[in-house]
Amino acid sequence: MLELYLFQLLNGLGLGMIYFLIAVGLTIIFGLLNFVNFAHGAFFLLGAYLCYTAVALTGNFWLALLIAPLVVAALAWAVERLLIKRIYHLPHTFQILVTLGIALIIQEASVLIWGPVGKNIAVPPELRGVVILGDFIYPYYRLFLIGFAALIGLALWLLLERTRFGALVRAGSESTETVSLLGTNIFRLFSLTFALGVGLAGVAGVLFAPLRGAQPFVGPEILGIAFVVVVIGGMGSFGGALVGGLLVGVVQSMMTSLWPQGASLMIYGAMAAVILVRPYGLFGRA
Amino acid sequence: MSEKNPLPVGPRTPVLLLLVVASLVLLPLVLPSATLATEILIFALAALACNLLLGYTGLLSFGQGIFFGVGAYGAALLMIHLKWGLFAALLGAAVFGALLALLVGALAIRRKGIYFVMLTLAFSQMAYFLAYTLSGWTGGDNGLLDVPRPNIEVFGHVLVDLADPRHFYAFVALLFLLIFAFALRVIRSPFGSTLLAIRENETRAAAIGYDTRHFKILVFMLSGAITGIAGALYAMLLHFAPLSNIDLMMSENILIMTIIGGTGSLFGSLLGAGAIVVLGDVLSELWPRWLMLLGLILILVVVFMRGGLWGGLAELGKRLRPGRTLSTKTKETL
Amino acid sequence: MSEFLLETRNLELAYGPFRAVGGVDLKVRPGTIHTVIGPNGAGKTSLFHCLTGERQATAGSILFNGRDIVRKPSHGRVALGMARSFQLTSLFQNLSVRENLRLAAQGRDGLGALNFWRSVEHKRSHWDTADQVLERLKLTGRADTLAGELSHGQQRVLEVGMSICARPSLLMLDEPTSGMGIDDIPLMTELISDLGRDHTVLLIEHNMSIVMSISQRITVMSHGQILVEGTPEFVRNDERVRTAYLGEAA
Repeated sequence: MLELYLFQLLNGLGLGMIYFLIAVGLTIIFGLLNFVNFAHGAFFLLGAYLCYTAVALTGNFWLALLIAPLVVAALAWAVERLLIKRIYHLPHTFQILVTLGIALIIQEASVLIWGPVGKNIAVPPELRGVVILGDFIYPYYRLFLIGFAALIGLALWLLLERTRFGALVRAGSESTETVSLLGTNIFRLFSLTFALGVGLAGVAGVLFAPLRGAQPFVGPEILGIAFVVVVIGGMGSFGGALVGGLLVGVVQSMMTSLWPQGASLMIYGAMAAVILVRPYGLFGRA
Repeated sequence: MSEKNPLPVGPRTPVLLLLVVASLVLLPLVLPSATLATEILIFALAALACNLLLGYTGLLSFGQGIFFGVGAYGAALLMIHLKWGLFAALLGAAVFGALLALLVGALAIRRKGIYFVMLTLAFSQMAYFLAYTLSGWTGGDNGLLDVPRPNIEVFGHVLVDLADPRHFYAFVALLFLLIFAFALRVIRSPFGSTLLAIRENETRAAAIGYDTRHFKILVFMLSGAITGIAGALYAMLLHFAPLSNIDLMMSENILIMTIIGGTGSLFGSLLGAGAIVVLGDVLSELWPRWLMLLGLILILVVVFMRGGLWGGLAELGKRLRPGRTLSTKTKETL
Repeated sequence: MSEFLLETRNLELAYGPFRAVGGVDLKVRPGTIHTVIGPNGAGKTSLFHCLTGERQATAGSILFNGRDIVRKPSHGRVALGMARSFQLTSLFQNLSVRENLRLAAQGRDGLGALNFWRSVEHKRSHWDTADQVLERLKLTGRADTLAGELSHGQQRVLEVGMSICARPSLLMLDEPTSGMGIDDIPLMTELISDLGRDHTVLLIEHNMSIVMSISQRITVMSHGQILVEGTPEFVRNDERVRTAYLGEAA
């Protein structure tokens, strides 16, 4: 019995790390660009499908893990240059509606390309099999998932905290004028940040693919959860995205066998409660 | 939805109502089936109700599906279990919609901007999962089956048999006309004019004496009641209340219809619902991925054509008749 | 009836340890134009925010007609007879000038404006008020123009004009000449002294020539407190004011 709980807890942490990657991308975009990206879930979806294609073409998951997020980021960069940069100045309402349109296009294009039935992606051969510790059995891939996502998270943290780019992003979220005064092309910084944030959703999509495959209509669900995480952690907060992601992942995982809809009820209820009681989130600044 | 977006200027009330009546008569004539025409009107009601929030008050609500779904389930359950008649069931749906809107609205308006939107989103998801869970009442994933469509009866005598799709269309059309006229009165009332003030500049509205919370809650309730009626009619049309009535996609669809038709124009809502329902019906046969086109149109409208279809038509009309510029009097603003 | 229309007692607005308004006793007599001046950061705007209800005072009381209103929200102060204008023009940009004024007149109905079953045409008095105010602001010719399309000077005039539509006994004007061109300022001065004939006016103003020419009473603030209060003549000649304010300005 205890093993089952431990198993689900570990599953929850893995899921939570994926949620963290999605949410941290969303939160960076919101923090710096003050932009609400309703297409974030769709880019996640794209990451999963591109992983499928890359694996199908090359037979190599590791290559897919490298290429798919880069393609997603490149696409996000293009969308930013073509469209998004024109709507930064508009109220959030308009941003939401435009990105909702983008999400619809990506989702339908995915169905057009990959068909309406989901695609399965095999766990890479190196990570097949399970860890056995006494009575406790756990798949390698899921352990890898937790470790790899943590690594990405750490790299991202270093990027934001220790590099000039990160300093600019953080300064930009306080005041875009400061950054312009520093002589940086703020628009290029915006494009890069958007691509980075969306690319993280792409990474999450790839990591998620061997667990549940690539499903055409998963975008809105993922987007919803990403917003739950971001809201609970506090919009714009890195640490908040981590703790929020793990919290949501664990709650979902622990309740899957008991009452899965109850888990959703709970997390959306928590989201509403946080907005009403502490709108800047558990970790955000007032 | 404002921000340097001047209010679309509309025709006077009688002209507008005439336009509606003409559309109601034409719809079943040009469309292949009365059922399709009925579906348009039902979604036009939902879009019109959404417009009261988005177009007139500036509130982007992802909660419209809640009211639609609650109207559908509520009316269906009243008819199935309590054997309520047509009008009672519709009234019940309106009351359910209004009460839910009171709950959602009163909580959501405690926050503004993105947090308001997020609250409506969270409530919408909660409603969906609640409906999923309460499968004893809602049928869960299978939906609520065998929803009746009662006839119009007086003392047990069938006055109008609504099983005939053309009769049902006529009934829905009449109801639509009534609700449209009501909504028109609402937006040209002291209350409606205050909604525009809130949309334009909430701080100023408060400074000149309006307790804006009450106005927002009331407009939520009116919107919820109308959306509830739309949901009930939809259940009667399909004889079925699917779970998809209450999901987030429904809220999004209603929003998209409202925006594409034209925010801040009641007639635009009819245009938006008409365009999307017809497009969906025609295109989904030919090209199942037509939603892609919808996404593109949504982007184009928001970025380039804020007035939506209605705004586009008004612009066209203005170009065709250069002699007569449209009046900019606010009194006549739709 | 109290001797003062508006009276604050030991009013305080603190942000943490910083007291933007530090125990102010302001007394405004009915029928006067009473101006609050002071160097930047003296706490004028913070005081104004407390009076309008935009900020909740952290201590003290605000008596209006002898009644403590310190806890009343801003919309609740309108029905009692208080009205305000904004330093940064805050209009209903996409509505006509006439509708801006009519809405301001309707604001005094409070929750009565929740009426959704009658036409706006029904309540003639609000339209009449709007038309009278249009006349007074000399904007009748632009009644149907969108507020956002008025010239900057006219927008400032409308900004002030909106505050008289609810027939208030006290007008609180926050730097009405702010951002106005030099040519428009005499117009505004004239308008304020005209409004002063029917209303008690509490004015926050930078422009010294206006202040000295139209005020009956002047309060000088400095560091969140009242430094001096008196007639324009008295204030002009006060040594402390010269050092604290006029000296700094020169």
